[in-house]
Amino acid sequence: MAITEIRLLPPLALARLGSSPEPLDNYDLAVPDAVAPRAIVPAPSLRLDTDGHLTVTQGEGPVEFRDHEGRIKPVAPFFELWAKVDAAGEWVPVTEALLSANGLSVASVKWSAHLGNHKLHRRTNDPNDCIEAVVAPFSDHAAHAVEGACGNFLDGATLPLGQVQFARPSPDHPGLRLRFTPAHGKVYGAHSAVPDPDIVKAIYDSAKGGWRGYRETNDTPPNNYAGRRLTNPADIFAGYDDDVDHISYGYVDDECDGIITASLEGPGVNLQCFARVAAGPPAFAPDSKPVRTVADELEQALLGPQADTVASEEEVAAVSDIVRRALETVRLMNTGQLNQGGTTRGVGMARMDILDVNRKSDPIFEPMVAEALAIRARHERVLLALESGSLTWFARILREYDQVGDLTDEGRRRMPGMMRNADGRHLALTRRQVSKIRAAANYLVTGRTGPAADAAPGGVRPLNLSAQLDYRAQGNPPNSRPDTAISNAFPGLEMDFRNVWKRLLAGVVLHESLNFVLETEMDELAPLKGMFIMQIAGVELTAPVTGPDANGVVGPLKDAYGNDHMALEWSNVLADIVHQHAGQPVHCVFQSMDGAQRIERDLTVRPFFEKDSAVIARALVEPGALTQSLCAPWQNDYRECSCFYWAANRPDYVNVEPRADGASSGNNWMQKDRTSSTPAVYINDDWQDDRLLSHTDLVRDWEKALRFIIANKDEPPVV
Amino acid sequence: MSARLRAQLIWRGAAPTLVPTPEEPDFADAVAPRERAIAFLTIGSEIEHALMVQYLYAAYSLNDDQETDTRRALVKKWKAAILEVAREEMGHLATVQNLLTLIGGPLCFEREDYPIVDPGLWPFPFQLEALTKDSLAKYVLAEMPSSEVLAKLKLTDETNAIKQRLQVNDGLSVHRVGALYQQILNLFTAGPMIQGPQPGGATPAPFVATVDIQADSLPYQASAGAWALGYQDILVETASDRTSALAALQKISAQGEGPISTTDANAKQEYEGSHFRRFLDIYREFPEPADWTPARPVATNPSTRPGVVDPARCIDGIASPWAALANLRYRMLLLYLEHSFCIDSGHGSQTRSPRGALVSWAFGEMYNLRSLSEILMRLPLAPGSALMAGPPFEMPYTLSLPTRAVNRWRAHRDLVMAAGALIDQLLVPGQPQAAYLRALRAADQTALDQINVLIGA
Repeated sequence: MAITEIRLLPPLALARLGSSPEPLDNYDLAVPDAVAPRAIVPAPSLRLDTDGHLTVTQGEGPVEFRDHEGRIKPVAPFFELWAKVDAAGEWVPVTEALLSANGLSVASVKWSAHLGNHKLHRRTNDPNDCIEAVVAPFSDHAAHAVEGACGNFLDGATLPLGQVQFARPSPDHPGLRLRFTPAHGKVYGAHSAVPDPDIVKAIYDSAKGGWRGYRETNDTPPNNYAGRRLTNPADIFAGYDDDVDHISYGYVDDECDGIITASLEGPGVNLQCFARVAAGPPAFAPDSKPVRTVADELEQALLGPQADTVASEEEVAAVSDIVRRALETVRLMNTGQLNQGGTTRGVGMARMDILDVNRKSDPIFEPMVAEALAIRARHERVLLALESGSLTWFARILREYDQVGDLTDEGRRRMPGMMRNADGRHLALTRRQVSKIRAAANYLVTGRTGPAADAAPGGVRPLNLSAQLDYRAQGNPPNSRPDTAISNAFPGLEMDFRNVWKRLLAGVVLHESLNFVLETEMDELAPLKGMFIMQIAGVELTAPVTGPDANGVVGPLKDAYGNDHMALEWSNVLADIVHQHAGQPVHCVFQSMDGAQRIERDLTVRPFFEKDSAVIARALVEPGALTQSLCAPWQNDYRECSCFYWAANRPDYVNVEPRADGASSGNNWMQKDRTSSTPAVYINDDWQDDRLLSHTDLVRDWEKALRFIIANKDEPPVV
Repeated sequence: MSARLRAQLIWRGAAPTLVPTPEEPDFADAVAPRERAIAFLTIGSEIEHALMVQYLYAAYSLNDDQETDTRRALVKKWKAAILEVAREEMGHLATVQNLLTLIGGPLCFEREDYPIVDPGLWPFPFQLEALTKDSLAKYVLAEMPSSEVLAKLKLTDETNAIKQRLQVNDGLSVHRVGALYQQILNLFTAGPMIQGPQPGGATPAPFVATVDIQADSLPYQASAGAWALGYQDILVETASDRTSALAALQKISAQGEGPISTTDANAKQEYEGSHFRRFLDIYREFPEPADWTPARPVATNPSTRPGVVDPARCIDGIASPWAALANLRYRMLLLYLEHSFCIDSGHGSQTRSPRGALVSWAFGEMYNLRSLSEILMRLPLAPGSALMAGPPFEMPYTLSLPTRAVNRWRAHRDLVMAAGALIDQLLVPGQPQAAYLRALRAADQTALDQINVLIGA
């Protein structure tokens, strides 16, 4: 019974901000039928008291996402310690009994945490702007505060990022587990002569660092290193504008990400294992999931971009879930509005196509089919078809990852529609998602010989790495899982998953959203800094952008820099490379910004996961890097993005009902006044209408201002 | 097609024989070119509709449960290919409605029911049947190009052999659909401006007058953007003038039969993509009955009608409510389609209307028909029958939409409610399709909610 390996499960969990002292209870998401919204069903929860004692609670009424004072309950995930013992091939929970059998005790288990918030550093590039929180190893059961320190903070000031606590094992709960509770979702700021009423506290010292007053141009960034290194999108931090620049207020939010470590030390044993956590805002439509999630990315990284050519019933169910997630997303989008052409703020991807590459102004779909209820009906019926075994056409109209630059009418009408991809153009699913859908379609058209049997309940044993990725720790609610986190990040919500790829090639640091070398880590590679990387292992990293120009002539479309090619998002373009060449050198081709110089080098592909583990490798992303390019604070994204990709978590169109003229009526989720007597008229978000929530409203009191949406309906106003 | 229209049509030319002969449907009485075009488009619509239904039935009849991998792979390939053709026929049907709309004719979603009354006007008598070598022979010949094109493709002997087979086995001659489309093309092709008396007293060929071609009908036509979902092989062609009408006709003709003339620049490409070529490929691969049987033993022309007592056709027992539901959903599909042509799409503008919902619902019914067909073909035709049931695709007593808009929604409401009653009847304990039926009911409810608002209820 010797312990040979240990793991923390889940390998990646989401925490969600909220100021209530009561964490969110656990629940399940049930699917009552193929087209109805998921039902939120109370499930056994684990309550952890201040002394580390665990009790199980079972809610009976509706799951409450707020406490009695209206504060949002944080999502505080548990991480369980599992072990592999030499006598058994499978993973088992670590218990006192197991430890004892190995001559160890609970005190032999040491927990530590390293979390970071690198949002400031990602902009200023000042190492003293890195906010780091390190919790030293501990074995007790007290709550340990996670306090972020920063070289440019006021003396003695820290950023509260939450707490970690080791639960006491007991006969009822023999397993060992740690809970991470995130911060409250407060916005801090920089010290100034006139106190800022919108922040909870000044912690940043403007005399030491340049975050307050940091500038990015209002215009297209210059085509040089300084311009190209900016986040994409740029200007996504709280601030004000002058004629030239967007200038930072110096705000600091309490999102973070990082690594939880468990060590087991004793006679003959010295083992370590890790898990990752990222803390972001709540999922405000908790009965919905995004169409492309972090779980989809992880599955592709683990299993490769190609699914089996012959699907199983289980995979058909997984495909149904993808389509369901698409429905859950479009159900919360005002697709009639987002479909429109023109450059008015508040319309969707057609506007982006005009602004980014000067495409002709057109609606994406014919307006009548883009109407919200029509789109919803179409998705419902695809789900219905899946229920009975029909999928063929749907599989054919999916957008290929390397055709995202096809901005012809046909190209823009491919699925998913009207949403933004991690590369800024129209959303493509992961290649593995596409492959799964095609395999399922193939199976359904030719293979199934009757209705699908009810799926067997999922097991709890993490038998392999896929199961570990999918593992749900006891008491963890569904919105702590990666399949509720947006991954078509532009820039993302719970995390900007694009950052995972920046250190994939040993020796260089890539831009999260561009085929551009930000930094090099070896002297001999120094010339590569500031160059574009064009090919890896023969794979082209860019794709042509084509479509009708302003005069309607179809041909190459150029961006503001004159390029008619775009960088493809890393996750899909690197899918084969990470899967086939991990640990191996690959041939890479670099090109200078002016195109005059070309350098070729062989660089080694870092493994995506820790060895024999489902944890994203520590060598790929340091604590704080997964969230570094998100908006600062995150409220800016809620205010400025018109919902091109994340309606399942940040709704757009709510309280939707049919209208007598055949269209729909409903509210903009950002509308302040939403009572039962408020006319359900959608207010277009032009960034000016004061009937919609402002940046200030969100920074000061987002918990009260933002409302949960269940079954597409508002929760009652928070008093 | 109405019996009155049928009575006015004759089939000119000698009866089809092994030697290719001109085949021209025409009118016994003189009619204006526009009306002639409407009549032929109406026939074309019925033919496209009938072919689509028969192809669907044939494809669903294929049985994947074969003894060898090779046979399974063949069946899979044939099924996918025929479903593809059926989908494309749907595009042809929509295009024909667009052309009717263009020249101000009434829409046509009717089709001949069986037993066929006047097989002379049809490629072959309508028959829902399992896919066999003989049924494939009919499909090949119906989609066949002209004799001149066949000669150029060096397929004359092979197609003659297929004709021979059908005549010997079934006593059947098949008219090719392309002949009808050639007539319609001629009617849309403008002749030269008349300059005084014609030599020899010849009468210029009649054609649809420019004044009758209505560009402003475009917002009422079905568009590829709304219906084809970016899938470019489904030709949903709109037309706003003579040129676009001719282009639409040529495209759907070419997709059916391949090259329209021996001088077509894209002859090879058109032949490769044509329904004719695809059916011919399957025909060549398809086994003789004595070899092995790719299809299930499904009934021929199954029926729910009380007057049908033939035990080889009469659906009874467990299949009955499923067949009734299939008929109902078929009717719902046709009415959604028809209704969608009555509402201005607001082409290119931001006008909002329920047309998009009708399009989505129509798609839903296409999926439902597929699902119900698959279910029916796994149920016995009647208790104790060795035959399997199938979707009867029976035409309702009427497809006429009420004249007042609000009553069209009432018609949809009544059908959705009728479907609900059938679903309830089917949802007995132990029903293996319970999940599908519950989801169908839920999807219907969202439609019903919207319909009730449109009615003003």
